[in-house]
Amino acid sequence: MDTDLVTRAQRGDEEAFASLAVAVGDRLHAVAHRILRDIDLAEDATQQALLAIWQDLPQLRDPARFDAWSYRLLVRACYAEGRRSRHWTPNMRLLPSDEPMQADGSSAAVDRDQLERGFRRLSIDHRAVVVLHHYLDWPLDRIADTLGVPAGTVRSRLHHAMRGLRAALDADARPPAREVAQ
Amino acid sequence: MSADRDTTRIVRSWLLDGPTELPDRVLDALLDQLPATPQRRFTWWPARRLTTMNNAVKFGLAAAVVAVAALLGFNYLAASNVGGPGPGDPTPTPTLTPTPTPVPELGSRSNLEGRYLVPTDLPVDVTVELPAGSGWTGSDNWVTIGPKGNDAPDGMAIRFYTAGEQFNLFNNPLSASDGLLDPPVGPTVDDLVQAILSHPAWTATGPTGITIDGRAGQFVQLTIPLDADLRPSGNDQFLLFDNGSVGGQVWGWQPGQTHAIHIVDVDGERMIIEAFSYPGTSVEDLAAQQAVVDSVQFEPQP
Repeated sequence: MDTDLVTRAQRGDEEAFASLAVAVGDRLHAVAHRILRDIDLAEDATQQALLAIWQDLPQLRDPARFDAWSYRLLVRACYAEGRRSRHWTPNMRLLPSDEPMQADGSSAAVDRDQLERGFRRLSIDHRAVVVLHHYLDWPLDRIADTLGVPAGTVRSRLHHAMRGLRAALDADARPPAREVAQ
Repeated sequence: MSADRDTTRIVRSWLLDGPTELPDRVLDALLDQLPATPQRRFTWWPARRLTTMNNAVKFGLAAAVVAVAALLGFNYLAASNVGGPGPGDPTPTPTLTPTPTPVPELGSRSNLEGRYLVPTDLPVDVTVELPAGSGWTGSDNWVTIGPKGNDAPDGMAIRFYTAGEQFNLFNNPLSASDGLLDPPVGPTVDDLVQAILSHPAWTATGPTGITIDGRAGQFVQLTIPLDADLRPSGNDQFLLFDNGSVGGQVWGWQPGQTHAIHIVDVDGERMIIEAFSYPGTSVEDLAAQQAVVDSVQFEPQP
């Protein structure tokens, strides 16, 4: 990130901030969408995060840490957006399916469908860790630093989240099932 | 280990799908806001939240009630047509067996009216009645939100969830990293009630014995302290419960927010019907909320 842009934006330079927003907007949005799994919520979260960045930029002491800091604000915005629509999802029932699973290449699509549902059952805390680690390829200590939580917490969240996703995939590996909640 | 690697590979591949560009209109809208949005200097980060409340929808029952009554009447008449042929009846003719109209799921839709199914992992179906025209909305098949939204100052909502074996309370509602109660909450309704009542982080009253659709339960009410500083949690969340298995959590998020918790014993499982509100929620809205809670029915699954 161009620290000069950050510094100018910190001083209230709207043009500099516009350049900054263009530079980071796409990747913030990509992460927000992967956490929230909803295009409208993701756009709202990204916009709120960018607005928060603008407002609080003067308080960022080290412009070189802009990237990590911006993701922290993005995840906070995702919490807020996620909370608008859900705070915890009850376990869903799985019943034997009437429809046989396709024997052709549709298993990948089924995986994705199962993953989508499994992922939506995770809290935003857990989703954020999965996305930062498996989408952005961040190491756990960087995630911990960004989110402001201990590395052990990040490890625990990732473990729980992946266990939940694996369970979602395993549910599909058993005799075909359909989810009746949707 | 190979299963772990496989899950990781699938998850990574799945995450690659999705948008990677922020639409220009979002950026434009953001930049339009800058001149009116002062930068904060040397102040603490304030909790900020979007409040996209539903527009208040006024109560108006007549038309839909008539429609529901007509439907119920039809079902009643059809259902009365049961029993074998009488002695003087000619050759039995096939009677039309009424097919029960499936109860729609709560889903995520607005302007709910009538009875809706709330999917749970219980061996019974849980349904709830939402008056026509009252403006309730569904959210993710497990929450129904009042006509003024679910946020302060005057919103309300009802959440439906089960408390399984791993259901537990946080040691510190402001910090998930402080862990869960150890030993964990026991498996009965009374165990959970006592855990809620004895938790020092909030004000709780009760218990009161209740019956919902013939099922016994307990009612307790907890209120987030008015002086609670939610900022340490990082996202102004007040952690109430954790379900353990997949990291699901139930939060509050506003000092003064009240959670009216009905814990019902459903064949040995704990079903929670949690109605939350704020100090600004009107008496009329609270009464409407209670009516929705009272409408809950538990029916064996077909």
